[in-house]
Amino acid sequence: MKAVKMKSIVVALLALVLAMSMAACSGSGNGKTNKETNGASGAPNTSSPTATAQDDVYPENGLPKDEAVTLKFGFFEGGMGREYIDYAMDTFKKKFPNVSFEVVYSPKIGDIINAKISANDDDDMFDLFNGTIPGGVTPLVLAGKLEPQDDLWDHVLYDGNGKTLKQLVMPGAVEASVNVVQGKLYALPVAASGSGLFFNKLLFEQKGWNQSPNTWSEFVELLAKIKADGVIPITYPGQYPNYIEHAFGPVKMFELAEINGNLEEFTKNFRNFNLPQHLSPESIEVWKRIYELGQKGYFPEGVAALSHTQSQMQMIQGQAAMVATGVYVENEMKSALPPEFVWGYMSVPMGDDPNGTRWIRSTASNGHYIWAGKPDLNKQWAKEFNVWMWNLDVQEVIAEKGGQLPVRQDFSDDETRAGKLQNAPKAMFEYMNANNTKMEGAVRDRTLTDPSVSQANKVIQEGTIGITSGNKEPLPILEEAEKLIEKAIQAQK
Amino acid sequence: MREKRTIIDVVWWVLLIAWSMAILFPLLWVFYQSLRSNPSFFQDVWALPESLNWMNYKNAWIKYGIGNAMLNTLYYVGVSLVLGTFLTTINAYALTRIQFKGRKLMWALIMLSLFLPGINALIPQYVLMRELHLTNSLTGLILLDSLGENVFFLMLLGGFMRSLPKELEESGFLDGASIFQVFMRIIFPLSIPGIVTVAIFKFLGLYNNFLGPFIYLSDQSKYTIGVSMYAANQMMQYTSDWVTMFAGVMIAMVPSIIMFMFFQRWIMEGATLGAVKG
Amino acid sequence: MNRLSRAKRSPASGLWKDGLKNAKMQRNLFLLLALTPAFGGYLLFTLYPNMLSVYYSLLNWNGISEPEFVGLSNFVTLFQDKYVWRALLNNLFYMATVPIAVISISLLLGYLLANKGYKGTSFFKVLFFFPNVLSTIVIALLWTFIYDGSFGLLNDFLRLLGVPIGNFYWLGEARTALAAIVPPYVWGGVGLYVIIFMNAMTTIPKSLYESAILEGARHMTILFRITIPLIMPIVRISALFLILGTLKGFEKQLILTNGGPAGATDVVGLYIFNLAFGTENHNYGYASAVGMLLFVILVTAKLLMDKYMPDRSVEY
Repeated sequence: MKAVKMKSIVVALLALVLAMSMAACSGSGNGKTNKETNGASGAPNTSSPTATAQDDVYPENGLPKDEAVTLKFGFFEGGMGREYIDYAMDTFKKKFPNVSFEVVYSPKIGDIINAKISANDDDDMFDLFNGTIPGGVTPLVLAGKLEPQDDLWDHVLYDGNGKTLKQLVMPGAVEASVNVVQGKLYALPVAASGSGLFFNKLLFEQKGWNQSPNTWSEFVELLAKIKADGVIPITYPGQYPNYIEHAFGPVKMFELAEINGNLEEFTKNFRNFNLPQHLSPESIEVWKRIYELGQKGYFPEGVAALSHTQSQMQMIQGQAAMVATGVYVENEMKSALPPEFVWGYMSVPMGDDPNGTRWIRSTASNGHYIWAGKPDLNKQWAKEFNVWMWNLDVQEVIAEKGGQLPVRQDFSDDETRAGKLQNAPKAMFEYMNANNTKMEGAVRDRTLTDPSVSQANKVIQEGTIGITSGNKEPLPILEEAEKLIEKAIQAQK
Repeated sequence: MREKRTIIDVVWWVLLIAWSMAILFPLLWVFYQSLRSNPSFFQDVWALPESLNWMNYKNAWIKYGIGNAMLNTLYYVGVSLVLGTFLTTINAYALTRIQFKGRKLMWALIMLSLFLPGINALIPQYVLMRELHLTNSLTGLILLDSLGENVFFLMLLGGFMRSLPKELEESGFLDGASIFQVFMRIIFPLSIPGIVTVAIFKFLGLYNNFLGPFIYLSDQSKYTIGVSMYAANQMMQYTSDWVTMFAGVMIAMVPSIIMFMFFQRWIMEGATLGAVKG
Repeated sequence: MNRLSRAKRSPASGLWKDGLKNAKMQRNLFLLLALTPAFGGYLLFTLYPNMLSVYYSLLNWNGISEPEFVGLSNFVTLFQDKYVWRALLNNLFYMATVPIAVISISLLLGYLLANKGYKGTSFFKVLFFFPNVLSTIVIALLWTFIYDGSFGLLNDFLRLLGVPIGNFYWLGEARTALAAIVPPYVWGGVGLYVIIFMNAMTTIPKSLYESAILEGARHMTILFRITIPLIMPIVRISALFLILGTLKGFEKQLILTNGGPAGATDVVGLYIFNLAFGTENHNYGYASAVGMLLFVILVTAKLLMDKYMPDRSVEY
């Protein structure tokens, strides 16, 4: 009884959230569609047809039935686990028996990919892979090693009743796609994620803490109260300091820019890497506020030692009130959660207006790169597989077992399916429903390729620890990073 | 030569016990945690468990594919160990007890390995292995790890062989034995303690090796225990299922411990470096 | 060296000329078979890739782009790179602490076990060696849990002693992290050297001790006046292994802190590793150049040791 009620609430929430974001996002097609089972027939062929006779090719994609293809897949086994990809591959193989996979699952898949890249042998390379690529994607793109996948937006979905990906994509997900380099997409996202501060609702209720501060001063007040109650207000994994961006970071600069009436200018500068970057008023202000929180001791001591799970553990154990992370937090922590845990979510309000827009970092990611040096047929099948990831049943497994958000807007048309979302994502949706929010991926249109950019990142990353512990002024750090960005821009010219 | 025990002895005794505890305690701790459940582990690390979760061991066995990894490890470590130890022994003999032209140069080149940083050669080495079609193959890995020189092993074995009186060989030659026979029938058997010691160190090195197998074996089904443990360790970033990992660590230790138990006497006697003056 | 060359006189002395030739051929064949696999493999798999990396150090190459020959410019960058020097400074810290700690603890424990005849000596011997059985990963993992702020063993132990340590993250503070890496190295390294030193100590003739004891010398005097000088060659080699090992090593830093917090535990090896394999922009050319620097430092360390720990009797 309770479960059913919960489900319908979630469905309602999802629908509402979607409707709102759609209003802002014009021209992304109809929300309502009929569901269909996998591999709907009659979908027109959009990828390049290679075969001649009708009988020898699959009608859905025009690829030959009798040519056996083995796709080598380097799979990043991280917080989403491996169930969803096994499910996707199994269903894909069932539908297309001539295709098989050779998978390497690893939490350190990037290192294996790295060795293969350096060996510079296309045969030895994976056909498709995901995860964080050491050294970043940009050098690979510049060397023409990766296959662009923009055409897939116009690909017809396997279970979309003839609709294309673009027509059924979650509003805003196209813009929030990571892995866009120099304007081109190199990994079609398979899941979406949202970030912010996650907390234990029961603990907040028990301590009487404000679960939804609406202004910056209310937020600071909340942190002071938490601190006074002997709990660390905010934790994050200091081993990878850029996790702080899940709560603060560029998205909050957008929020400040909007408050200052400077949104258009800021957005343009941010997307195109126009100076000032780190020294923009918004950036300086965000870091100044983090520094103030740091000085008040609102981040844990010794935060730099914390790994991803350790920081999340601090929150679950109640040593810290909130953790800066993504919705996948629940999936990662599922084996350690006490049975009576209730997830809460908030986004940091930057302004004084209780009704102001809260910007939420949300990206569409986890896509699979495709190696350009592979035979055409392999690449075509790899692309088909990327589209296959958008099947509703695959998306359902991603939501249920991977703890991520769907990339399709018709996901919540089915109540049972919408109910499969984990609780941390649900908490985020509830927050979005109750507040005026905007999703933003903080993705750039322009790519800087000079190594100085990584140096700038290193400066910020190392500086973050000092800033959050309140013993390093942010301004000199930002100035140093800005100089490096400037150098990179000049090198590009 | 019994001496009187004094108060100082108590201090030394306490020191020995303290060092022992420093070694034992963390290990026992991991063993203890490997029998708990995740929520109770995270709730209170010291709490007494309500029940012992031996299931963690079964889960670890399945989750990390330990059965298959053990077989791979057996092949990889077994062959590398036999081949590598034999080559090292004969090599140490040639380099320490036979005078020949170019020996000094060879020693100099081998000593050079002590000063090579190692990491920056990893990429050229991978490229080389691929050209030789030795990647993604346990046999390729065996060749990589069996052929080569190791200053530590040469010193260890060389030190051992040097302590053998040279008359042994000479009498062998006088009896008309070939140099091969002298090596196999005289030097080899007499060097057994040193050889076993080298073999045990090699075993530990191979068994715990993860970087090589990790980079060279792209096929999951060929993974060795070392790689599986590395992967498990890295997964800790993305999952809170730590008790299973503790159990996996305990299982992975078992072969090393067994080897150690069987052969510890040899290590205790054979671990010498070079010759002692005096 | 000389002692050895004398050891291998011509084995065929006194045989016929034919037999001599035969023995020589046989010997050469033996040498060929004995040396080729190991030494050939070493040339191929170790020296050759390292030579290639010397060439890489002259390139601007990220592993993907076309390599571009840039001459010595990587080395120019190197001297201006503050991160290299920070890492090097940390290296020097480890070089100054780890070998000294390992050797002095090993000497003391080894001496106690070899000469005091305490009950349980053989048990201690086995137990002390035990950490050497464990892989770097397991050792690093154990120490992660020892140092953890919220449920770490160290903090629990300190609380037991009444120290109000709170949730102090030993690896999370710049001021403690650097030093906190030392104990894992020592913990994992002592056992081997205890055994090596013990074995060396047992070769010292008992008579040397007896006269000293008769003269009423204390144990510490014996250790410093007799034992250590006699096993000095072994101590010296051990020091060499340890010093070079700590200069090259980075695995424990990689797993325990990844060089953090804010670079406080970064070492040159780790810096190279991250340049070549890290998450940020890769630069094999530059990584190789830093590798060359490390090579020079390693050789310098050896030369300094030769100068300040002279010992002519150890040979290879």
